[in-house]
Amino acid sequence: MRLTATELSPAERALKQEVREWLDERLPEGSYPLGLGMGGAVDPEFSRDLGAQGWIGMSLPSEYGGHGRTAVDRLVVVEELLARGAPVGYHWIADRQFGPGIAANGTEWQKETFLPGIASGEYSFSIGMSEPDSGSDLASVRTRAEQVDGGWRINGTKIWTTGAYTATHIVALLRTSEDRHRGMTQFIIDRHTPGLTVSPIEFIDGTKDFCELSFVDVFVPDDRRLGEVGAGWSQNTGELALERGGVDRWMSVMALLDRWVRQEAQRPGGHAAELGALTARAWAFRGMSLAVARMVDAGQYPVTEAALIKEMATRFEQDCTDLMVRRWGRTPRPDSDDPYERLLATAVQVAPAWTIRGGTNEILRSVISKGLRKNA
Amino acid sequence: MTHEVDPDLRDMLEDFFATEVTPVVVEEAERAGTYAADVWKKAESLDLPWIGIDEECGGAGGSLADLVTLVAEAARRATPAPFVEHHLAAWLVAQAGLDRIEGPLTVSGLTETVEVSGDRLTATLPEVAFAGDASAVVVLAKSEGADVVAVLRPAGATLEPHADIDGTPVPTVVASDAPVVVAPLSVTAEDVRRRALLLRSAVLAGLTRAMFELTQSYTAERHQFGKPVGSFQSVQLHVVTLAQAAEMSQVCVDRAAGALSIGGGEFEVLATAAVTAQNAVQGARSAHQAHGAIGMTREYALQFLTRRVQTWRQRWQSQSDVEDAVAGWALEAPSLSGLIARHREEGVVA
Ligand SMILES: Cc1cc2nc3c(=O)[nH]c(=O)nc-3n(C[C@H](O)[C@H](O)[C@H](O)COP(=O)(O)OP(=O)(O)OC[C@H]3O[C@@H](n4cnc5c(N)ncnc54)[C@H](O)[C@@H]3O)c2cc1C
Repeated sequence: MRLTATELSPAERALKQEVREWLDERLPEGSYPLGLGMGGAVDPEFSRDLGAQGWIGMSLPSEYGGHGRTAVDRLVVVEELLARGAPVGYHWIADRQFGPGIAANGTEWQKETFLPGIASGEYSFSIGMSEPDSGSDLASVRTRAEQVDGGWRINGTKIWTTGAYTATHIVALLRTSEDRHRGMTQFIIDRHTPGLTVSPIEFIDGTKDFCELSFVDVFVPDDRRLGEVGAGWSQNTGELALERGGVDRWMSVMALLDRWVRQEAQRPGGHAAELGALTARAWAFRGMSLAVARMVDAGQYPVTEAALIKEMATRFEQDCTDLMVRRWGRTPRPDSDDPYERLLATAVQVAPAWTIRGGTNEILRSVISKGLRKNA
Repeated sequence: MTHEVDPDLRDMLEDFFATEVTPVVVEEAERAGTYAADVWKKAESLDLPWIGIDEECGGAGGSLADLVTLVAEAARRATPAPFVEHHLAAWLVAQAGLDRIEGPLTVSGLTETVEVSGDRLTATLPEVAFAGDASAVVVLAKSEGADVVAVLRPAGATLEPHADIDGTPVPTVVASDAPVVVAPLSVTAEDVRRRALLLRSAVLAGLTRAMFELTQSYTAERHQFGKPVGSFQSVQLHVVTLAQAAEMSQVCVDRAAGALSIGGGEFEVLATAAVTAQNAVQGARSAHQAHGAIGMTREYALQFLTRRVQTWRQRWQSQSDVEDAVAGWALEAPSLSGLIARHREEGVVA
């Protein structure tokens, strides 16, 4: 493995400037609830406005409402969003992985049906992978899709499905045969399909984005099957580079850090060494994510690289949170009048999830070491 | 000298809290924004809240070692009741030579200076845990330069509701020309803060032990890839980290209690506060990591512990201030090796 250093081109820098100016107008400070990176608020109206700018589904082909732009262009846009703790929750998953997933594996009909709604910010997607007995061992999923006349009948339970309550669609990884890895298939399921019940599970900070999905004899037509029967696992693996290598894996607390640094600057005899170390690492992670985005644009699948970054970047986010809490002088209050203090109180509660979601650090370490052995 | 904890007392306390404080009790108290009144009543009937207060002052007697055991065992079950606050308040009342006041009591004035003039108090007291449920707020205060105790009845004040990260009600108590009973204190404000820091450390030690126990049993039960996740080395590392944290914190708390009980003990209490906070924070990370998604939900009991870690790690004094204070000792000591190995007996540091 060898990442290649890269910088933004003039055109990419111009895009960054354009996004900044637009966000200054659309999201003035104080006009929106501050979020933690990809965990930003669900705000369909903001997602539609962003879509109208052409900044969702950027890499999708233009005949399906996309803009034929690059992964680096997307990075440029999302880093501006995350730096402000913008309300990206509604469109995040569709933009990051299922837009590209459907573009790569979908039928003509699926591309025509789903991609324009993704690019316009109207569709919100959730990831239906985990089950009560299948977390890290995802290949053991049991929720079954049985072939019936004209389609499939689904029975079983999915869990930890972030955002399912407000989503329009769920991409579910379902068992279609007994073969451990080749017996899984992806389906695009409407959130309001009869027989599908979505129940919120209260998260540690009291929010209700986490959901449980119960499927009882849910019928989906065959045209909702994404990719070949049995191709679910390899499609899923292909999405991982998109899911893991991005700036969203180390920017969860960027809105907090920005403010914290301004505060530290005013403190005499501050903690310059810690601030310096943190700044340097943040810069380093930014460079790595950019390098991975260039690889994606070159048609590569940097799955190992993405895992390598996520494993350490999520620990960095936790370290930053801890540092801010220590320097706050007391435990931040969840009902403070100061929105930053409230966000810090949320961050300190939800931070443990960053090294769990999207593959735990333990699993990532074995993914990385397998990848390193293969490339050696 | 060892600082042995009375094993019978520890067993009794362990049983008591294990039986009385179920996750349902913790959850209900939080939802209602109050304390577990039934648990408190039962504890009262056994005189538990009065452990560590001298008998001649209306307490149940017992050593500091007994007291930290009580506090740690209560924390181990995430007990939503003011054992720490009540003790500090009752101890202040006793040190001021006042008669016992029936509880639950709570305490204020540990983080900021409160001035009282005559027998009237005008002050805004932030984050007074369980003030809405307490029969009195006992305030560490200053009157004409001297350390005093001021006893404020809630009826004389207004409360602005707030809740902590762990759901504990921590209202702001606003007293405006409220009548208070004031008495001079026979110990210094520093003594009071040291005791508070020791009890905070005991809470963190109890929480850390509980996180260890929960993680150990969960990782033995949860199967992935056809075996218990606890059989994977990287998960074992988390369990080991927690075991290390739990043992280290408890030993430190017991030693600091011993040092404090023979007078002085400032360095030991500060070092213990630094260690127990670090261990609890690290332990919470490991516990969550080993649990996966389920540990992040309100349905599962881990969050009762880890949210409490977040509130207690900086209760009354920030972690960085504690660490700075420990550093101060190191910089002033003739040698670091001498400082950490010093031997203490009644009032003598060798
Ligand atoms: C905030 C959040 C959002 C999420 N959103 C979604 C979502 O939208 N859709 C979805 O499908 N899922 C989602 N998840 C679920 C997530 O993918 C799983 O939590 C994750 O894969 C781990 O599974 P688990 O929680 O069952 O933990 P387990 O697999 O039970 O793991 C428990 C512990 O064992 C370790 N472990 C397990 N196997 C091994 C091994 N072979 N070697 C070493 N260690 C091992 C783990 O690393 C962990 O420390 C979300 C999770 C979180 C926390």
